[in-house]
Amino acid sequence: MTPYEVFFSSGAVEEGWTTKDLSESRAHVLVGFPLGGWLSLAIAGCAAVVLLPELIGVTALSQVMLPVAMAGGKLLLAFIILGVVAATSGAALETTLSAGYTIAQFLGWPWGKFRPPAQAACFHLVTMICLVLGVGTLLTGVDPIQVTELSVVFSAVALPLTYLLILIVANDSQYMGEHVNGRALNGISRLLGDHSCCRARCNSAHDHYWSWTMTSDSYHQSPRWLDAHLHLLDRQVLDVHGVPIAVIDDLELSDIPAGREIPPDAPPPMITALPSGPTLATRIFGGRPPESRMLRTPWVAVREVGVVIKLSVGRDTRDLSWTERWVRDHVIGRIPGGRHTPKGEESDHDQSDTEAVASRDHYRTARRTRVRP
Amino acid sequence: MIITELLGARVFGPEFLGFVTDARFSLDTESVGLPARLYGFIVSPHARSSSLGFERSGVRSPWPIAALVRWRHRGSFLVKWAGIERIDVSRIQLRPGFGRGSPELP
Repeated sequence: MTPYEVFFSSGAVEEGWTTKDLSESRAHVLVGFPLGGWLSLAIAGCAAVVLLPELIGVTALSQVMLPVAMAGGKLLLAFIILGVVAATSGAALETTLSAGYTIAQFLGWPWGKFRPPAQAACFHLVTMICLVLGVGTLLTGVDPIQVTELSVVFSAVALPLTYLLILIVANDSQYMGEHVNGRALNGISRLLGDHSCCRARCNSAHDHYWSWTMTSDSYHQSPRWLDAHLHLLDRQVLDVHGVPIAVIDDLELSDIPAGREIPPDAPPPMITALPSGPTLATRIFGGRPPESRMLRTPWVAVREVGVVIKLSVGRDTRDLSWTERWVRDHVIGRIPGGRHTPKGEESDHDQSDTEAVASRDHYRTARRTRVRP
Repeated sequence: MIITELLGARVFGPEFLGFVTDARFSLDTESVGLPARLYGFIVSPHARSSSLGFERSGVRSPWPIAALVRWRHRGSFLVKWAGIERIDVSRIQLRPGFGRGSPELP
């Protein structure tokens, strides 16, 4: 259940769900989920009543085929094999996509199943690796039921952590607007530990939040307050085409006279850039990645600050991390159908420049092409 | 300077006051370039961690988490940029007579 939260919410973002989709989400939660649970219980109950007295134990998926083959012959057997392949493939793809979404969004890689693989190379590589790992695990002959039980244990450990964050967001009126959780729904969701009460509402967050971003006509408050932790750090950065290109790991400030007394009339520092880079290891073990490994998005390129940070410029090929470039050029790009390089990107495909030059060029590009809201 | 060098820094007035838990910026939406200026720092006497958005005045639920976070950050205050005298590595010195503002976001 736990990884599916990221899977569902990412799919909602990709498919552009809005508050208009709330009724459908509620139908899924209130009708679909109980129906699925009831059907599963019914199957388990029938199996216990019919098969247990005959001392028949169903331990493998292939055993499900036997009564079908006896009843309907080869034609029905072929039909159910098709169904099993579709069901297992779908489940495998959901699980691997979920892993891809989680890792890519955490590390700030471009992601999306509707994106050409070459545009989200690391994301697609992670999904492929997870698929191979899953198949490889089963090929070892390990009991899949035991694997599932072990997975559920890990899920149960992680569940409160993911649930807590979703509960906080679902209670945040700045995100949720009029759809914020009330006391009754909080009580029910706490009692059931059910994310779905929150999830259907969370999916509408984008729709509401953009209504008070700085580009909206309805937003007249000036200045607007931004807290570094709350509004900027760890937010995804989207380029002008909506492609996720990074996660904000830091804020670069203009001149602060470190180690010297600050004059009383000194102007306050300003945000000059949004650095992002490989900070996972340094967050765990301390320290800071070398500056040369950090990519700088100039603040002047920022167009909107909301659930995500939107830029007024397109992604430059050089804005990609070296891992993304390497995976794209050496792995995904060599798979047939994997290289759908977006128009105009190949001409900029120059990896010899240093990041400093890239940042400067991007800054200039941003200044030239910035679109005023 | 980058903000992660300042978050978690120890803040001193005449004596130790707390830790920087967040930095507040004012975003000028009317000006060209949408400048975001440092307005001040949120200082918490007891915790270095983020307040998870519960510093906003209208956010009070879910109440167990809100109450816990607010208790952890009890006594927090906002010190404006003008009240900062000196910034060193992991240490911020405030001017004598600095003002304590409300840390709540409007």
